[in-house]
Amino acid sequence: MITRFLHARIRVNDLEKSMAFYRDVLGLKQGNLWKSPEGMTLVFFLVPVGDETVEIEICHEPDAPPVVVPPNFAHLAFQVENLEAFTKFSTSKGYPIFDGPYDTGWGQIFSYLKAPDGHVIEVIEKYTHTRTA
Amino acid sequence: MITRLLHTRYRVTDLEKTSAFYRDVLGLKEVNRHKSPRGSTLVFFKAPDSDETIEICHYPASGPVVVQPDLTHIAFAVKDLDAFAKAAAAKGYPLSDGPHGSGNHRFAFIDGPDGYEIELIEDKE
Repeated sequence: MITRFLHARIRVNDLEKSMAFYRDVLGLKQGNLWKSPEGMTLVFFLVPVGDETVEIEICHEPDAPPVVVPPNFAHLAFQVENLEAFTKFSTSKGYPIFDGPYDTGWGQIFSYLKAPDGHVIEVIEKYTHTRTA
Repeated sequence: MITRLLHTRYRVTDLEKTSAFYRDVLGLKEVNRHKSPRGSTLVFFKAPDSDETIEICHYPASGPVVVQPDLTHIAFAVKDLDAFAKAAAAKGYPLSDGPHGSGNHRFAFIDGPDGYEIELIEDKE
């Protein structure tokens, strides 16, 4: 039956703005850009998972109704090496943390930021060292 | 900066209905279930050859879940798209779109509970 997870797709209102976010703020590598005959554009961003790669697929449809993301609807979670450094960097790019940071108590700290259109992104640092703060 | 994808989360209306879908229709394995400090119930599922998880969240305080058409989907690999489609339809989840493609690359969609779209992709070696 199902063997593996391949990609997560989200639709966006402003393709260039979202591409800049996933490329320049999250630092993901851009893969293929594909335009359908109907005018839909798909842009793939590559995310390493172990030895393999999964994709975040950004979709833009000019004739579709505007994207409205309901509260607490969905999110994508990424691992970061250093949450504090990531937070500082994303804030400087105009994407501050809106919730967190929290400590799970079992070796993870995490925060949330909003990508364009309000799509929620979780960033998680896994630590094995003893935190002093 | 970012090193890997960890999970994709969807909030749902009926936790048991959605859990049954991921477990019995998609065949994913439930790997964890707990309550968050703010009171949401979280169930994590994993595909056999994947490390990342799907996090199903139930939190009625956030109101009803309404999935806008074409807002999001997640995609999985299947070995045999026709066999998958037959089994899913028998469990009440027929294909909503497709199959598309031909030869070594084919894909189709089903709608899970709440209308969350799932893509199934068959790539033959």
